[in-house]
Amino acid sequence: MGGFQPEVTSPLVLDRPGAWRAAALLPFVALAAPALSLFVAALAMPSATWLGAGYGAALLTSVQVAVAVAAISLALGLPAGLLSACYRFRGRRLLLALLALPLLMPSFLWAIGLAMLRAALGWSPGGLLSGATAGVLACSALGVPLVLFATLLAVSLVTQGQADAARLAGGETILLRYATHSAAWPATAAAVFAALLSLADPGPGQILGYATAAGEVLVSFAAFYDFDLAARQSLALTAIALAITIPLFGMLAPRVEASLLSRDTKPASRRSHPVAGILIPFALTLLVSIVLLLPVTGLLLPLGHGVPVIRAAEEVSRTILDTIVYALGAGLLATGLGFAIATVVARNRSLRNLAIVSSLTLLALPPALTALGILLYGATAPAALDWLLRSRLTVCVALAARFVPIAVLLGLVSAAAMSHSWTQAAAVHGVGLRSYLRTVSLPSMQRGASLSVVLVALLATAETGTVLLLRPPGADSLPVAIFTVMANAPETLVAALCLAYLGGAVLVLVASRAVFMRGRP
Amino acid sequence: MNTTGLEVRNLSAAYGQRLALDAVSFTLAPGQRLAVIGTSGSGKSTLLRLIAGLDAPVQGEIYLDGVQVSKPGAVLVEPHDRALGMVFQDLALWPALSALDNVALGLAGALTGRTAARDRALEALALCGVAELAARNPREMSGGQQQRVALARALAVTPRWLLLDEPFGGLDIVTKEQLTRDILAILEHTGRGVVLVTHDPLEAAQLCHQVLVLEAGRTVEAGELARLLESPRSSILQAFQRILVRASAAGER
Amino acid sequence: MLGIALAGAATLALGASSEVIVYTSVDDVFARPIAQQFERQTGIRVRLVPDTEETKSTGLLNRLIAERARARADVFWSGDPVRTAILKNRGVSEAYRSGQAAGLPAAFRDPDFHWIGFSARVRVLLYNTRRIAPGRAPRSVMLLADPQYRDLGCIANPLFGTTSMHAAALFQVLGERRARDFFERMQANGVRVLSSNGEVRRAIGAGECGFGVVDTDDAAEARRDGKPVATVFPDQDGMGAVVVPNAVMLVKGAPHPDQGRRFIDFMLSPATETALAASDAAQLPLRPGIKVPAGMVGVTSFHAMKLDYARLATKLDVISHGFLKAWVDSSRR
Repeated sequence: MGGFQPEVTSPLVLDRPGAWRAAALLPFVALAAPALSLFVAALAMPSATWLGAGYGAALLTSVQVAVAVAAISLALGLPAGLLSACYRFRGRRLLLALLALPLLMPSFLWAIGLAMLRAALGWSPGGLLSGATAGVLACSALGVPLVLFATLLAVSLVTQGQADAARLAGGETILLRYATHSAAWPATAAAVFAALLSLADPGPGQILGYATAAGEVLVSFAAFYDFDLAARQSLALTAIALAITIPLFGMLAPRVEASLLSRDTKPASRRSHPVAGILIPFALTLLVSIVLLLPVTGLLLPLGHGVPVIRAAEEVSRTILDTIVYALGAGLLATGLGFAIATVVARNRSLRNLAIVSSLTLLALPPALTALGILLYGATAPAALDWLLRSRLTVCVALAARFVPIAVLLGLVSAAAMSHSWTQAAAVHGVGLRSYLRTVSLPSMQRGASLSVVLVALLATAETGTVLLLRPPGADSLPVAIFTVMANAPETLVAALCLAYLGGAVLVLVASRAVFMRGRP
Repeated sequence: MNTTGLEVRNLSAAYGQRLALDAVSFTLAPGQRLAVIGTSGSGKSTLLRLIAGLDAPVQGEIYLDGVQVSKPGAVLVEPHDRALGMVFQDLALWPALSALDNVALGLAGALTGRTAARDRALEALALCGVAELAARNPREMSGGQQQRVALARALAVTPRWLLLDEPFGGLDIVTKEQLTRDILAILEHTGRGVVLVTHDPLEAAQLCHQVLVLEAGRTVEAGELARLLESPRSSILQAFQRILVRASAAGER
Repeated sequence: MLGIALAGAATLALGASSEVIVYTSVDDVFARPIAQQFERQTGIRVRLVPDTEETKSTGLLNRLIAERARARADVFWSGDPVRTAILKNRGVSEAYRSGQAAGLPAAFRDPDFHWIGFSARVRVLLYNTRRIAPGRAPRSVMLLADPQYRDLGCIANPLFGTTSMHAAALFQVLGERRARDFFERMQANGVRVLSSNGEVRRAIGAGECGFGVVDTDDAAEARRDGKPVATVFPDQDGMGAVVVPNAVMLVKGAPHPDQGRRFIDFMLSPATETALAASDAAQLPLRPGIKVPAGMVGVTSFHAMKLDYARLATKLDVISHGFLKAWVDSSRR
């Protein structure tokens, strides 16, 4: 409490229309600028092979994998999310926590896990656990939980009254149909998001042995050192991603908004059901086995030959501090910026939709290009700017740029939960903007903001490409350490480090849960 | 033009192309209580927002104690300088703050001392009968208790005019009757003028001297409720009259 | 005040001068102990930026090229001489004629001293002893294309790492026509293209592949992991085995050039070659007369392929954009 000095600015500026709100879109331009400047330079360069040989075929495979990932994620994630949202069953918390884990792991670990498992099982290459099929599986490990949690969130906004009305109208079938109706659009958006991430990710293709467009970009980078070709290929990939997603999201945005941004106070409680009580844990256990246990088993198999505790502990202690700095830095920066953008655009429908589309565009940009653009800025800027362009802060900013869209979306959800009348009451009573933000707005957004910090921090930790390019000398993160030792270190060490990472992610999840549940009515 | 009181002159408001309020005028002397009634979408909440200074009219003026506070396209005096208290339809209690802090923060524009604000807030809560709930968060209270806290916040600033936007929505009849009685006592004790927005003529009858009936943004009739009910022109009062007749007939049976 | 400011500036300057920034494409597990040894010996702190070529990140070389306008690294320690030669062609390196270079064979360095080779790995054939009896063990890389080993062979993606250098070496030694023919026949013989040498090592260890080409450190790792594998130095009665020396170069415009030069001197010293030979990296000393651990062969005790290392980068640039890229694409179909 505080703020008894009369303040000049009224909190009504948060609600009243104004052209200044469009300035909230400027950060998107700034964050996309490093990659955009490379695009522009690449387009200006004449080239005989504009996209390089083999790119078309690779792009086709990428799109096929992406479509399959979206379809599988939706087919498995939506029903699993619906059932988990509507019914009580034993082990619900544990199973959902396990399903959250794949969201926090770098995709290359999943691909390695599947490759190791195939080898351990003695399955021949070309089978289920190799090539694009395994790639779809590795990417769906992320997609299925993503759709599941989007569904859970959407169904949690169904009120007790709506649930009761649905049950009265036609029992569980109608309830599930109504819940499906509520969750369909957010779940589809999540599935498309998963497909988008799979398009931009070269890891699974490289490890599992199939050509992808992102892999071609990597070849241009890592084999040809040809920034222009890589930029052109990235541009084509981004264009394809946006061509698919923008019209889709143009269609989805209002519906997602209606589903997720609606405000209600009393969510429907979950109900026990004899069949569901047996069926759902079984189905979720099966899902956990596919998206989590399969790759993790593959990763941890080598530990059967002993655990190099001291060596692993050395690596962890060398990298843990920077891992935390990058994760928290990215989480705080992205959340601060994302929530500020969300607060400014929240009351204007067209700006809100523009912010969602800009977020998706930012997400579709290959992270390596953004990092490379920042590297070039750092090399040409004066040394006085090194604190910004060549430091740990640079890594945090680049990671925040990658994941700020998530913060924007969570910010919009939080902003939507705040009533217009709060600002009006503040205006009538002479509460200034600063006091209002400090005492009313920020505390109301606290839960959403904390969630955003944790989510971005975890996703940023899993993003190795940016850290590899931008980390200051001697400041590695744990995933980067895994990445740089995995080729030639003993398998036991790689497995031990993966286990340490997994353990860290579990710890963060448990701690976050404890924090979020504290003081909940 | 009155030099004291509230005067609304030829007031119109629009949302985009749609006219929400069409040339509404009235004058209230200090301490007078007016109920604005109408069906949903009739423009009554819009009228209240214009008086509060939350929106600017497209046409017409508003005067408070002889001072022009709004003119077409402009809010001349900001909401917090109009000496108003307002209870919002959804109460607009700030959820992260206790009842006491809600009321005390509401005094931000009126008082500069923290202790003075807390003392005044406690007084207001006591006046509304919820002093014992001072430390509680709004979400830990019943609907009636929340309504009292919202009223305390509006009264704490010792406003000249109290704007009430459907303040009894969702309350059971016992709570509503008790709250109405208490508010009436407070209003009579403090002598505040009131503009009450409601769709319930019974509420209007209990709390206010005058009634103004809006339909599609226009004033259809205005005056004392009992007189208007003799030959009602608005659909809402006609419906109310029919209910009274049926209730009376049922009572006779 | 001025005194305090000057003292502060001096401390900062001293702090900055007591470190060297080393980018390395050598595996972190091998590079870090050597860097720590340098720190103990000189008191200069090494800030290591490892990023192994094996994992095909967009990392180090791009970073060095992108930072060219204002270099951040002092030294680049490469696992093979091709990357340093590429950097020389891009104007990232600076000549440094280290006093320690005198003891190292001239064949393994840049004629202008932009990079200097030292301890080496060798490209060897690794085979699974359960799938291929020692009597049938392949003795030549060319047998990857031989029908008697159909569907048994595997190699890493020849666009990357030491495999790309090996491919360039074959084009240099065999000539364009014979090299292309070999690659095409290899493909027709069912050779699998895996993501890295590490994958090849793992696939052979697991018996998924019968044999393949890896580096000596991969082979040593497979043996340490207890896999049923054996190693063959290939083509001993023909073109010889490809030697892959480490290479070290001073970065042009390095922020700590003196420390960089000291680090290079250290890397090229007999002590470092001895240490790398004794480590798990199992690197062969190039300097004559260095004692190697039991079980390790010296660089003179086998027939090495005669290569013009300085020109391999140019050859690789030409073939990787053209033939090799198309070959890799068609291998995936």
